[in-house]
Amino acid sequence: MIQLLLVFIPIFSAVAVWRIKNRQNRMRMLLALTSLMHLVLSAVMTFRSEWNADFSWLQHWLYADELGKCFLFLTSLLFCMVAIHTVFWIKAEQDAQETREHPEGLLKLHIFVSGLLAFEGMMTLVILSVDFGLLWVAVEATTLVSAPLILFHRSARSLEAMWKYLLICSVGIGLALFGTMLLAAAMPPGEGDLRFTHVTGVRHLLKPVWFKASFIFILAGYGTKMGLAPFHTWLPDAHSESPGTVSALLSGALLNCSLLGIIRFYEAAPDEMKSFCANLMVALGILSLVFAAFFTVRQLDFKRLLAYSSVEHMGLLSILWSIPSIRDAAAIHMYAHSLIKMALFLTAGNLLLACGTRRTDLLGGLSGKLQRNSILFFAGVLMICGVPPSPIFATELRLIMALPPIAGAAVLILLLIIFAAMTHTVLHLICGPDKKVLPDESLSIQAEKLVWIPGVMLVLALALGMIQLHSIL
Amino acid sequence: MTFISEILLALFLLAALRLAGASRLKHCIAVTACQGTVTALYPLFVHNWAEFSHDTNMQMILLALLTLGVKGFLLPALLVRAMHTAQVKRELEPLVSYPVSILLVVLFACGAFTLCVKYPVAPAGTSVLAAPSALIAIFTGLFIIVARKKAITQSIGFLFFENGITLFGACMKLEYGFLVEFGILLDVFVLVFVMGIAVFHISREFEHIDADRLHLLGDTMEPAKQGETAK
Amino acid sequence: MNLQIIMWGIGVIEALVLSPVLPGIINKVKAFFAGRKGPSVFQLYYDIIKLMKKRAVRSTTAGALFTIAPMTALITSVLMLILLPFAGKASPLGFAGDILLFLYLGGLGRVLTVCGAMDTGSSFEGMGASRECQFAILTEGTFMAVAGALMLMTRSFSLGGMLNFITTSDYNRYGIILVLLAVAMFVVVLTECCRLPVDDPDTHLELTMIHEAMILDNSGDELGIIHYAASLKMWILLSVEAMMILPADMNPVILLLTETLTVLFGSILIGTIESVTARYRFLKVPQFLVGSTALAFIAMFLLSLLQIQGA
Repeated sequence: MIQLLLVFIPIFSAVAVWRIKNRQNRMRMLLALTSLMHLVLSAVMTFRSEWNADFSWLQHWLYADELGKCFLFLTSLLFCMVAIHTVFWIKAEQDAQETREHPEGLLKLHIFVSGLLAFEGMMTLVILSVDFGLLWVAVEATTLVSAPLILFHRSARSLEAMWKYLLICSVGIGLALFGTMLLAAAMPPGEGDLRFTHVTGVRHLLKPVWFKASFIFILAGYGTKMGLAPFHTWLPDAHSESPGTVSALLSGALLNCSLLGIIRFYEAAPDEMKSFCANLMVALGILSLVFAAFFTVRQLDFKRLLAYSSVEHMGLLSILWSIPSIRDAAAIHMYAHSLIKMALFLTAGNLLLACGTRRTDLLGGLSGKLQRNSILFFAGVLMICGVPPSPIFATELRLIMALPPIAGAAVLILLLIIFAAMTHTVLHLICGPDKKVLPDESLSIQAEKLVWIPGVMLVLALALGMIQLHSIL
Repeated sequence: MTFISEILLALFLLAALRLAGASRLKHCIAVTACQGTVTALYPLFVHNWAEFSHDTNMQMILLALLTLGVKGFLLPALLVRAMHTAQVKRELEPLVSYPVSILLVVLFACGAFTLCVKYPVAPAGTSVLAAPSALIAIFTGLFIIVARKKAITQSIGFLFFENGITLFGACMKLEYGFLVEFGILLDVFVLVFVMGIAVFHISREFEHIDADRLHLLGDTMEPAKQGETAK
Repeated sequence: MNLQIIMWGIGVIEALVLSPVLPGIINKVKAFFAGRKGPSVFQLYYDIIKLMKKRAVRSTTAGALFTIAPMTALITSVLMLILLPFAGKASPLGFAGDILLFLYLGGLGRVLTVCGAMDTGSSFEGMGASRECQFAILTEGTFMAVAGALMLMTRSFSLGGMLNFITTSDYNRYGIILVLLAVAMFVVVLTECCRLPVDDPDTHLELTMIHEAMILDNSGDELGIIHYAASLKMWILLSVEAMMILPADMNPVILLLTETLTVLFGSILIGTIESVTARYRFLKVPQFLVGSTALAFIAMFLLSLLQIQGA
């Protein structure tokens, strides 16, 4: 029962937003309420699942197993926090439109809010879906409902970003559909059921050649959605052009859902195929790290910098989930990355609101005017690069220890390059001398008020990190 | 019955060939509509009506009708509307010229036929044309996305690619269940709808819809010059 | 056996005698579509007879090639004719590999026509010659693809074996392939005989001509020979198409009759196509021809699939 509510409450709210199109306050309240309700329900689902009244026909479509609960709670928590932030941030953006000299249009609010709510509903559907076909439908649906969100600041650049996002992700998802069909071809004859439990149960009967082909297409397809190199090309554009809250959701929640798709397939691999699949995932992970390392150096756009950092962490997650012995580290890394990356994107959104530009060569010395945001941004960047007591430090440590020596060395060197590149850029942004563009006064005040949610996220991540360090030391 | 399914598959294959050589957008859309109709009708002709229950048969017919309506009429109509609002009629300078495109499709057809003979995927009794036609359509769709400039042609290529994948599923006699199939159909419909709107906005903003001229975003930005405060 | 040889002989004579009717039929069909009465079906006969009574006028810059070109066109066409297997009987002059002789006799005729055209020293002829060569390269590709498919189907390398293979029971199996091959071959017919949509035979604007430009300077009996050779070539190519499609196990008399009727029907079809289409831009003609080559290749793949499946 709760699964059904979890999926349909956001969708009903998304439809309801169209009815109250012109009442801004009501729309924002609806967003906040829906996300809170969703959080409560998913907390119940995760921690007190015996309170859930289950129907057998429902179990045929939506079901939350251990993995699903893990992802569900994270997504719900993150969406709730982002929604509360958005409620205040939208007001600030609309005021900013009036004060700027070159205002570009904003997307109509009801489209934005209904898109956000539908996005949450579809992500929940991805996590709760019980067979591979429904998983595909849900992942494709998330692409569709998130595409208009990129267009919040209407400009030529965001339009271009939206087009690239739509086309590349759709082609990728099409390849994933092909992979799903190949999986059905790999099933032993007479078995048409594509539910996770069923496929994992008969996995020793799957035809190896077909499963290999299927896994390759799935990795290409869902990997496109996840941001694995070399399919990541939409990610920097879409994440940098969309507003802070949307980038946060795309980075923190959507990439995880695509990762879930790949993990489900990995679980369904026959045991002798698992090493092949693991090798593929590790290879793509390291390739993502290489691309991220290459492109974070001298990156002139701080949101693009964060986007490439997402590519890097998706690579790390891909490697982490493919090694069975450090499965818990993988889950912690995912939680940590989502929390910290979301905080970073929200703060970056605030900085963009205040300064009006994303270019790091035009901005500098922001700690003078935007003190709180600068601190959060800097702390976030340090944490995402793996400086202790960030939880990322612990998980990266365990990862490098679990990899064979050469791979571990390669990962370490690439992480070092990324750390150097990111901190270089951010230090100039935060501490350097003033450059050509100065933050607007009134907007800075507004931006400084929007720091609570990112702050909470970073504190949660810190707490997670302390626990991790304690368990290691 | 098998003869009609063979003709449908031959039409599917020839549609891929025609798409590779069509420069007028109306022709491309017509070819995709024809292909969508074949995708909708093909499962009806290979289905073993006696084997399944009455409910399953009714579901199949309903799904076929829905697919016919969406892929044969609605989606082409959407694309034609997008074409009119963007005011384009032809693909003028493709990245790969038309004769070379046709030859590449033929080359891939050779490869697809060889592959499908070596690794038979379809259950016994399916026409030998089925899997290669689907693979050729998938390749042609992807090729059109890559080798053509206009954004609408890329959408048409994507639709072609989706139809190829659907036919592949149909030739392997995959039965997902009504809801998932309906979900897939709905997804494709909404996707093309959103793409049509995007093309309209692109045409208004950029005054062209050449996807290869969209190069505002990139990693090679020059550092700002003196006095420039642009975004 | 005797009846078959007699029928083959009648087929050859029929081609020689009746071929000028084909352009007449095409013009009559075009006139019908235009609501006119049009010239008589036998108009080309009258034109040839009129031309044969006149003397040829040659330009001072033209040399020996210009003189021998028309006669060569006629001789190669007649040689191509007697290689064909009429009425289900292989030609007495046929041998394994004579398909290549067939193709290259056509090529020889074309080469000498082109050389004769360029020999006049006029730029219009040169332009027509270069266009003719460009399209001929592509039609050769299509023709060889069709021939390749036929060789795969019949496992024989002689025209007699290739074109006389189909029996009435084979249509079920080879139906789609024959349709594809017939369409590809028809494109070859349209291009080789200089018909729309490749070349407009009625145009009087030299810059839009292909074949007509090459014969601008011919006159008198040479022009008559050229017209006759062109109509004979059309009959030959339409006969190849007819023999490809029709089954070979019928009574020879009926088969010959059917072939003739198919050739006449083919000319009506050409007339219809000429009436309803416009000429393609020159840049589009290669695409058109590559498309027909692709069709022939697809037919070849289907054929090999069928054979693998059957075997």
